[in-house]
Amino acid sequence: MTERLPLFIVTGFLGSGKTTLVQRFLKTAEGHGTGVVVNEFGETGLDHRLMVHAAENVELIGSGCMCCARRADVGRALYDLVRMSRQQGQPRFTRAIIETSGLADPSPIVGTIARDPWLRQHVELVSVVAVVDAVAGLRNLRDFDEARRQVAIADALVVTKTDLRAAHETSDIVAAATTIAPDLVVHDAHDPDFSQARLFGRTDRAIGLHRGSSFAATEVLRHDEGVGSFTLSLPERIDWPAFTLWLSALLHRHGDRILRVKGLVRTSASANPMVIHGVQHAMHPPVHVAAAENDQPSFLVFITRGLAREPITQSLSRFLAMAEAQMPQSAAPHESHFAMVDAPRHSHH
Amino acid sequence: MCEVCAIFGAGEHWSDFGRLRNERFPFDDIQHYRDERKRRIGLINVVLTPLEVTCEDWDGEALMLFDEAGRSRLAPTLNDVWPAAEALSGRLIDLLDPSFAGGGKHD
Repeated sequence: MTERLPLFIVTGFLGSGKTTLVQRFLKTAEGHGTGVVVNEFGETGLDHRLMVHAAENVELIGSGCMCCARRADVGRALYDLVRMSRQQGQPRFTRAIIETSGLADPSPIVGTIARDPWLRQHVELVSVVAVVDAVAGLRNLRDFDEARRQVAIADALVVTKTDLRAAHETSDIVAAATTIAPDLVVHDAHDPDFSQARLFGRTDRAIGLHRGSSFAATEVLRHDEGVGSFTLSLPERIDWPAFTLWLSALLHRHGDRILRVKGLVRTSASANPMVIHGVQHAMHPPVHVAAAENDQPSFLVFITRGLAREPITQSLSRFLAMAEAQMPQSAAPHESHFAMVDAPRHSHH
Repeated sequence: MCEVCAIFGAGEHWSDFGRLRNERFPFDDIQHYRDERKRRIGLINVVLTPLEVTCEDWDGEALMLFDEAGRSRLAPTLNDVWPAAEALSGRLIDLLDPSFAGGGKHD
């Protein structure tokens, strides 16, 4: 497989400090070689040689579900960026950042990358970063569905403006955000230990999942807008064909109410644990986690709108029981198929 | 399928076996992939039983769905199976409904 361009999506409500965050990163040594896609030029002050402008055009297709909307603009901009990074004489980009506009729902961008065959081969979505400011963030999360959706699909949270006098307590902001998405990796932009390089590095997603054991008690369903999250514990080794079939059919019917699903799974078909990650109807290819990080129990986090835990748990149990009953007696899924590591490889042209 | 060496690839869908190896052509384990694919098709057929739609492998690369009247639809990936089956049958697939997959009439 060709090397894919690591991509980060920076989202956050109007005035939350997205551009400042990105700008700050570009000025660091690690930020060198970053290509940026923005929706609005505005007063960004970004180096235009690093930037591709994407006018915000959303095409609604099919049912009109937002995650199935195609962001042709973003697709095109990423295509340009990958092409630019490979041209002779151009510095090769080592990563790309998309900065969304403040009112954008990021899920169509995620969906566009997941569904476009060319982008899938050339771009790897590493992390969605939500920026929430300590002054207006609490109110925005309370009042605006857009702000909640941005946090709901994020992997990392950066709290900004914590140094201002009007700032709320950082712990209140974090509590409000993790009520929506319990597995967020939290950063305070004014913490002396805040590392931009870690935020825009490849490892951050896995780190968030390492707190898996603390998810077990999380089950919050808010009454006002019905956005809530819960965690399912999974069997030690899950039956991969059955599990993926179940999740695929579940997302097909209920993807518009499942804002995000994410988890760490061990399967009947792979030696190492894997991180799986999906936004509404779009799933991303599983990410492999090193065997050394093997000690977390398997789990799935759901962030849903008006969909409770119990029917999903029951459905999964029913499905896995059905799959087990269908299993040929001679071929238990736990049998190892990994003995052939030294077999000669077929060379493929 | 690779046209040069006639060895099956392992799919583009996120759930496909090749993704578990981070490679599209996991030749060493191709028999395992074939076994898993066969098993998955068996499970799809259980899910589709209430819709009276059946699923068959189509050359190791795609899935073909048939209704009782013999009408067919091609589903390139697992994602396409559900809308194709719903279009053929005029019924919806909802795994949260206990009558699907595990609570129904199949054995």
